[in-house]
Amino acid sequence: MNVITISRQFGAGGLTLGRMVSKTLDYNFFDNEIIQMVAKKARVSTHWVESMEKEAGGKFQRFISQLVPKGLIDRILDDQRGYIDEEIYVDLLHDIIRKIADEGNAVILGRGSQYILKDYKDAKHVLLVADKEYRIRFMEEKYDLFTKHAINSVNLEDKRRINLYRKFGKEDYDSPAHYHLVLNMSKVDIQRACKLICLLIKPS
Amino acid sequence: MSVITISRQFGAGGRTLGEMVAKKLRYEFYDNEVIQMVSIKAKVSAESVDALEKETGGTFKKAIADIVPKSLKDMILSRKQDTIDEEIYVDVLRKIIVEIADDGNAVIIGRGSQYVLKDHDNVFHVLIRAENADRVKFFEEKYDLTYDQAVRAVGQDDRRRANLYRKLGETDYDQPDRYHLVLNTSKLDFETASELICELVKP
Repeated sequence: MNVITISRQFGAGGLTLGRMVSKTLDYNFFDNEIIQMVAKKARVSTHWVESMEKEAGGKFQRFISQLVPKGLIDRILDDQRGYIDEEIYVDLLHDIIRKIADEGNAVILGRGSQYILKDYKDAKHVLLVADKEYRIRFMEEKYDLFTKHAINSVNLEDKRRINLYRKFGKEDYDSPAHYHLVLNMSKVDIQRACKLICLLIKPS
Repeated sequence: MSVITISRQFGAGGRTLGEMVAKKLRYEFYDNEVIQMVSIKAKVSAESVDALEKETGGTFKKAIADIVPKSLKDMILSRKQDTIDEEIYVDVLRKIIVEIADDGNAVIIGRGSQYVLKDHDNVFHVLIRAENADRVKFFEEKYDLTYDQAVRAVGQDDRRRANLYRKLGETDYDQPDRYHLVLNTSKLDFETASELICELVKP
């Protein structure tokens, strides 16, 4: 039962490529659904989890206590601590990603899945990199953004990614050591990239 | 008329993979030692870099045919001499690599070929990397070295590699953005890895 994790620099085309690969292999594709699963399990809104991911390390608790009255959190969450903190979030993420991997035949986009599944025998880990120019252009074209907005979103998401990985205690997420395959999307077109990833699963 | 450059950490299996890929694609295979020997020979026979430029593909191939390779084990254990040669022949190396690329249908191992050919059309750049422990083990098994010899060889070659790239003015040789593809042979078997490289040049 195979599972492919795709980690990527924002704007490298991970979502597009992940969908292509899952379609080609007839696998299930998990991207933001995972956030929804976490939210459901923690019985908070998806928005909460998303905000939580966006917030940096220690800032999160401050953020929560500022925005949400403690009584409300206690009613929503059954956890003793009364709030969904980073540890709980990361635990839930681990649970859910492992469950997805056990089911197999899945493509998982991001969410630190390359770390959570690093010792899974049948997990193949792929990293997509691309130079900044490519990533900005990709966002402009794919999502019809103004250049200014594309640049902003790439910069913002780069920061978000650093923050999320800091929660895992990881900083070397762009090191090839964690991956079977690193694809440079500025140099390899997306169709060929799809074929290359599929070859990891079905060597012809 | 495609060319594949394979850069690698010493002991990650780049040469073995390069040979597999060249065989599958029926490409010419140029490894470190072949290029090195040609450059020495070219220098000696032509006495100047300029003369080399005038040499055609034909004479170049004949030059290769004349060379009798030493055993790989001897090569690996006598790295020190190669290092001195490298300094003298960096310019010649560049020219030879460009010449090989112009001939096309080639797999080139190392020698900074990813930099020399970075803007060439139809050239695909691959980096092969592996964990240190795996690289040492690879050398013990593949070239019948003792553990200590293998550890020393890997360490020496990391320094040699850093040196060569310094001469080319490059330091980011293990960064993925230099390459089309980075393959981790600690995680991938050679068969799959070679399939992936071949896929790059398929029409």
